[in-house]
Amino acid sequence: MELITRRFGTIEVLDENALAVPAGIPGFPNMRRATLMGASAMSGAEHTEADAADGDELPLFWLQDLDDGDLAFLCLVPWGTFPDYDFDIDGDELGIDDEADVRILNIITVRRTEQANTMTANLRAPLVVDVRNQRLHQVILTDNRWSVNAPIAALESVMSQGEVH
Amino acid sequence: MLVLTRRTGQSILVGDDIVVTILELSRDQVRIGIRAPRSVSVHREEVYEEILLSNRAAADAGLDLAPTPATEAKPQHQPRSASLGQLPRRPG
Repeated sequence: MELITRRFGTIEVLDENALAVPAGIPGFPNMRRATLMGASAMSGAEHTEADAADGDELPLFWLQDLDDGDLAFLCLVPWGTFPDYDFDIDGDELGIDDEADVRILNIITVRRTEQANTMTANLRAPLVVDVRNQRLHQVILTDNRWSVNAPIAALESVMSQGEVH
Repeated sequence: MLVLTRRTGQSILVGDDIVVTILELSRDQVRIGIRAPRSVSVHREEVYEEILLSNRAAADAGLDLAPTPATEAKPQHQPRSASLGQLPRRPG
């Protein structure tokens, strides 16, 4: 299918890359289908090919709503930034057949102030992606160890220079 | 709002399959047990609200981040959705 989006213009979405969002997500109950778009941001001030070769690039994706071209969420694969991040999910409840099919993303929020831009990741409510069944759930963890607004230090210098594409 | 008086150990049934039990009372707190089917999500209201507000803030901020196509040079190739296989696994 093709979709006109605010961020990417007209995009092509293959069926195999579409995700069902059975319950929507809190605040966006109508987001029932979505896809991922690659995003990139360098964690250093200078964006050079050498940086990329050093593996400084953060694993970012846009979660794009397939029914609302204006709605997209910047998301981070958390493991490199938050090495201690860990939680249990109920695979049966989410209809997950095999734990190996699970990938995790965390929604990022950017707050702009006069002094600086701050970037935080929502670790309390991860996005659980079942790549086999092509489903996405936002799961609210009961463990209050994980913050809704965990700071991402590495990104702060980047965002002020507009390095997210 | 329906208001009921219950003692410790007593329950309330909501529909056919949701049981809310008063477990313990202290001065200004009450411990509540909830038995519900897995399909029913149960959250502390303030936590759910916090996630909802965080999602809205993320969506609003997202509007400023990526260049809008109208102001950018036309890309040579039509952008494509990322393959789900590109999503990194958890290491280890």
